[in-house]
Amino acid sequence: MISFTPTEDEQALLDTCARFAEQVLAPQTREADRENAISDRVRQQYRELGMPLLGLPETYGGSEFGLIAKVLAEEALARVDAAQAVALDEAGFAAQAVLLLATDAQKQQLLAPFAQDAAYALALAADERDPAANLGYMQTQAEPAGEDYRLSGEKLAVYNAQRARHFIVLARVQEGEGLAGVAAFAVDARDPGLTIELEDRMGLRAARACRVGFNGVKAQRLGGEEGNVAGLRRLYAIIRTVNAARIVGAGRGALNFAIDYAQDRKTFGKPICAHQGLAFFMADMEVALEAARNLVLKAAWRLAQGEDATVESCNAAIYAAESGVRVTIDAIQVYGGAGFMKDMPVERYARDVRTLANMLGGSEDHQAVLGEALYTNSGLKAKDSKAKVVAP
Amino acid sequence: MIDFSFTPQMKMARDMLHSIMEKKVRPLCLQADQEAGYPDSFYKEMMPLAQGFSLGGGGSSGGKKESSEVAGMSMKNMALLAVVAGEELGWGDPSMSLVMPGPGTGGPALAARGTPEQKEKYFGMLKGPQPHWAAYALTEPGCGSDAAAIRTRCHKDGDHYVINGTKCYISNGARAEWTLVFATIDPALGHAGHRVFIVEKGTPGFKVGKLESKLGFRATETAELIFEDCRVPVANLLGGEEAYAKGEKAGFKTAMEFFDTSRPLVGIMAVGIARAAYEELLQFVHDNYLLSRPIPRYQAMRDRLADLQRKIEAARLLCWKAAWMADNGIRNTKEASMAKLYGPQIGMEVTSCAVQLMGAHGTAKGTLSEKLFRDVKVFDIFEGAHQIQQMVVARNMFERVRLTTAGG
Repeated sequence: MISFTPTEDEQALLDTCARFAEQVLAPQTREADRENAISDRVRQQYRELGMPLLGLPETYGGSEFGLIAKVLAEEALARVDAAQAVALDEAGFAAQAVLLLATDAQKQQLLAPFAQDAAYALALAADERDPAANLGYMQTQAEPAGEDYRLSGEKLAVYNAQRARHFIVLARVQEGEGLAGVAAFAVDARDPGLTIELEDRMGLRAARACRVGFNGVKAQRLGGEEGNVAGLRRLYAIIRTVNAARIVGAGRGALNFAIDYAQDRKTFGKPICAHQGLAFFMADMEVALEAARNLVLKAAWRLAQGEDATVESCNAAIYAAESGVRVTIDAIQVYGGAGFMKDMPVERYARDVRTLANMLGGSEDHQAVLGEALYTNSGLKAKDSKAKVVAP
Repeated sequence: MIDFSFTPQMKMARDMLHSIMEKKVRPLCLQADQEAGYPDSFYKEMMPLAQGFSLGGGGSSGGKKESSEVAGMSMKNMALLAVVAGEELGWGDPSMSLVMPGPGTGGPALAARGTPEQKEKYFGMLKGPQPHWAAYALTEPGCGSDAAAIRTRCHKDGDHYVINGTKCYISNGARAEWTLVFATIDPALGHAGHRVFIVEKGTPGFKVGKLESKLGFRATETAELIFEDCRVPVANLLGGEEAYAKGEKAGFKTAMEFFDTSRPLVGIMAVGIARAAYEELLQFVHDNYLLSRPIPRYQAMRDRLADLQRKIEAARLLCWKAAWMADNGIRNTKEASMAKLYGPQIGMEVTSCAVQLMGAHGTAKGTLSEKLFRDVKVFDIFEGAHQIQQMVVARNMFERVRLTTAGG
């Protein structure tokens, strides 16, 4: 039965996150952005609430909240500060990768420390210089070496890299189309073959994105020796959905500031929101965000049902990126010249959303996946097998 | 729990309607477009469906218990059910929302505001087996979305009211057994001066003017109604005289109160139209576009199609949410307007893109895509034009500043 009401547990979590964001994150936003770092005290408080581990099974210290809860929580945090939200997600996509792809023994090894060690963190290394990396076209290679593998290559935009005890790395392991030739590996962050270099990035600065080099680094393959394309696809569906939720949250945060400002700021004797040109402009922002949010919820619902959510997650990610980028830029426009200044909150939202929209796959990558998922079986395909069809 | 699944009842309604649309409506819809109406036999055939659902455009009265009972369906989730059904109607033929026999847009207002005697008499008039319609006449040459501006006058004369004025663009206005007519006792009184009358077909002083010829939506009847000293018994004042006592704005409220359920319905019908155009395009591309040779446009085509399906889905969910709110008694003025704003917006985009990508074939008469392109525009206009919806959304965004705009 169609419903838009969270469960009581989800609502309680949502309230906790919203309160935490308002009380703890909000006072820190400017400093975190300027210093390229999140305060240890904030990190500690978040950890004490048990928040980073919510999605993990109870055996690893989590409380088995589902994807809908995750999406609602990330949206609430990002409404205040998406950069700190990403920084605080210390289990994050890496833990999702472990849950989806690893053997039980590997899960025990990589996830159990969360329950015991408050400083334990994982980071996912997937992005590369070529954006198509997220479709499986990766330069980072894994060569078999005895029981293990050796990794060589370079990953970009690895968030929380300097805190991670292990990296979960996606790398090419064999010839094969797209994700079919890719596997996930666990790498010890203390391996001497690793280089970790802090990047200077436009947005999500508090999450300290790093460039990570792998120079013959020892790596343990997650799962068995046979590939797990379905698992990788699901991982990307989760990534798209959660990031879309962050974008929607940040878009809402920026729009809320703009709504506030438009009622205070006066021109020609009345609040600027009373000018229809601006009122309509802002009504369109509202519609764009609401539509994106519904798509995110639907994708999360599909994932929570255990169903394939390739189409829904791509819809959510692309729509959220389009809406979020536009809404945050338009929020600057509502502020006028003031919006361009770092004293005002809206320019940070625009930088963060722009960065999120490129994180672990951009709209063009999602669109390629979406087109494949939608039309492969619909007959919309060149009938001659010799026809060159660019497909992921 | 956040959920996007259908109940068995919704699935049943969707499947049944889809099958009727596919088998009975689609084969006739191009001809109905050209001849500005379906054959009489069609309306008769539709009677069982029409009486079961009572889904005339805006005629769904989801959430309003009283009217649901009148329609013979006192069930929860009426607005959602109507939205699910509405998508299939739009898919079958955009005109379906109004050609279906029944009280149409006059139904919800009579159900919610009529006295028991009025309801019994006038809903009774529409019972089968012969098809009958009713109408709702608010719009005038100088007033549409700005409902406060009506100029049709009425004054009391003994046990009658005398109506003078002209109404335009009234759906089913010529064939209606009765029409709800909005008039004012004094334009200076604004909303408080409004009165609503049930005017029967054939009442002296009431005549039908010209029948409009339209860009699209052509199977629906659109009439001008002229009132010249038209005398209507006091008993036909909607809701009785008490309803208007103490200067209450009962007439205006009647005009406004169904937007919260009717706007999502208009939105979803446009979604149904968009889906129909998308499916046509997909089929066309499959059948004609991809010859057995490399086609550089393939990727571009696939991207365009993916964009269209994404927007259709986004619009659909806006409608679902607005309807879900109505069913759950949550104030949805903003969401209903967002659904109404966005559905037709993407409806126009999708139908236009479908025509575009079909090349020379796309604009040929006798193709569904060409008809859908013409049909969808009106959804962006009636029940409050696009810009009215933007006004309503904006007005509900700014809590500290009261925007002086009309439209709900």
